[in-house]
Amino acid sequence: MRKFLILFNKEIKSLITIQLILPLIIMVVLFSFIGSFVSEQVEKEQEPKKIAVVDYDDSILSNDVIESLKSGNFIIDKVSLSKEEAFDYVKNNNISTLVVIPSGFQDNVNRFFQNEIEIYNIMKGISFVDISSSVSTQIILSSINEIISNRYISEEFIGMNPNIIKNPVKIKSYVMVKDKIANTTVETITGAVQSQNLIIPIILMIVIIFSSQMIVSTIASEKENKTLETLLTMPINRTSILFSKMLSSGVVALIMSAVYMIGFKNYMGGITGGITSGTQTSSELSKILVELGLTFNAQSYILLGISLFFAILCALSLSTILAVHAENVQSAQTLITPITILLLIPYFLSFFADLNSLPLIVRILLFLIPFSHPFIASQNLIFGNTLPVIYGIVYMAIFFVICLIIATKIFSSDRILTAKIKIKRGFIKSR
Amino acid sequence: MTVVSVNNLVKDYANLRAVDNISFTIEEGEIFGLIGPNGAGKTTTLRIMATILTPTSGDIKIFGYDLKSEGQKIREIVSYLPEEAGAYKNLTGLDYLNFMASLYANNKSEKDKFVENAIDIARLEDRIKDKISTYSKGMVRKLLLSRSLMYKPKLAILDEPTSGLDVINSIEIRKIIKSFTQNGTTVLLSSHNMLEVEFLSDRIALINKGKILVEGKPDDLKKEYNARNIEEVFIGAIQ
Repeated sequence: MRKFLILFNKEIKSLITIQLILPLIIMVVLFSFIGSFVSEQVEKEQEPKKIAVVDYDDSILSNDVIESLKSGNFIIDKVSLSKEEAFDYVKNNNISTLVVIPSGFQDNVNRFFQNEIEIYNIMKGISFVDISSSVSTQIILSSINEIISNRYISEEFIGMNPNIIKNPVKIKSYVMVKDKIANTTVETITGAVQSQNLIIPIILMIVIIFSSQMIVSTIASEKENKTLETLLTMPINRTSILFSKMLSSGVVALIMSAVYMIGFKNYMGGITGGITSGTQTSSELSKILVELGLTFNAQSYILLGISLFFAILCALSLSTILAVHAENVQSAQTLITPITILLLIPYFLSFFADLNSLPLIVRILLFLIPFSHPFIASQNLIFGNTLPVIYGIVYMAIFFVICLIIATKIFSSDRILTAKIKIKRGFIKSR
Repeated sequence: MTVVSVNNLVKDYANLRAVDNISFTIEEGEIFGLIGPNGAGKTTTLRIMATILTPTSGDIKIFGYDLKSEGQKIREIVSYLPEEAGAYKNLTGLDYLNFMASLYANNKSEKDKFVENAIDIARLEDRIKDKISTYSKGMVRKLLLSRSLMYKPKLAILDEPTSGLDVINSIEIRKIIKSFTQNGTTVLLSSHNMLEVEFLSDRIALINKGKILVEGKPDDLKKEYNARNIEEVFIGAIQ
């Protein structure tokens, strides 16, 4: 045990280098910065926007239209200028939208003629910030049409509420999950669950990829730097050498993933913070998800943790088998490409599909990939389906034990020194 | 007293017999040199004796331990210096020695003693505290040699100990090896530099294409082949 700890300590020191730490810190700072920047922009987006209005009609109706825009989250700057002067005015006053109400606007409405209102948006760029600062033409159009159509209805149906005439049927939508019911829509719930759990597949992918990369680096660098031969002749059990490498790689991968997640959480927090779904705010949505039982409880987190733990073990043992065939770190990174591909399949599928509703053959293939199971687990656990998660854990445990036996056998045989896969012009040759 | 006996050792790789039925013995405190050209089977023999390769057939006993069944015991009394060995470049020379010593020692004082021995052998002065990545090839080789001798192994297996070194570093390393046998350590070394092995070894075996051609004391072999040096003995033996 003492010698194992010495080896473990040495592995940790060789993995945690300044080359590893520096990009990690830069990434966290950068992600946090982008997150807070985007968050600021989102807040700015929700603030009332200033628009300039030139009213050449100056009628009761045109004034009603302007008043209705004021109540629609706009700050109105009414100006009495020619169109050309108005263009200069908006440019000089950093106003992004100009609305021009033509003369004869009220007369045309009274005669049931279709009117034309001109809207000028000053385009400064195509970035998210530039686009969000300009006012949606559709919102202005809806506001104006609303007031005019209400006026038509009020004149025809005196004393009636125009909204009831325009929307005679109102839907009250409910969603049922098992025996629980909540007043919301399926789209809202799906969107909310997906946005709340967006981070899970990303965590899974990062942790598994890092684990693979760590273990192949530590084994291949021993080969590349010609230190493995010496290490193998030391009075230490070879299994200890193997396990110290696997454990240290797993630990460093988890630490790196945790740091990445902090950065990513800050980034996502900035992007999704304050965004609402339909008419429901994020806190209302969270309450509904709890009502429907669509949240992770302690048991779910434990099962997901176990599932992820075994996926990491599978990645470590499989990567070890591949890494002993590498001649150097560069070729080792290439050798783990199959693992990355096996990981990307469930990763992308989990984004675009419900893994449980895929065709049977695809589900079987997915089940055979050990890295699919944490992704399957995260979708199943939301709906309280624990049995498939447990099957997945058992499968991964069996897969890990088989890979570990193979890895231990390779480590205890000549193959640790003699096994090589040459990667040359797209051909992989084993010897 | 015979401390190493190799009997009918054979090692096959996929389509190649690297070591072909060789036998030799080494006496305690002796420097035994395995000499031959590149690809003769020297490194494979040494790797087998260092327990990192398994023999296809044959028996090897090292200080009474059977290589096939008591590999772990052998690793405790044998040290091996591979031909192209490297050291962990992210460590300082001292950290490297501390790490290696801790794998041999049973307690801290024993570890400190091993490190002290290694510092004496390597003679890297203050540079021992520098990162290994800043060392010259000769310095790395001295550090590695000091690592392999620091705990006074019963048998030191040195594969091409002066490989790739300049004359001054080679002479220094030869002196270290020569002086170390006075502590009772038995040395098995290999080289393709026949003059070097002639100078260092008490007894030698000439190996070519996996077979031992001749074995004996350098002077006896020179007399037998009427040769001025071991290179001429080798030419005579392959003819």
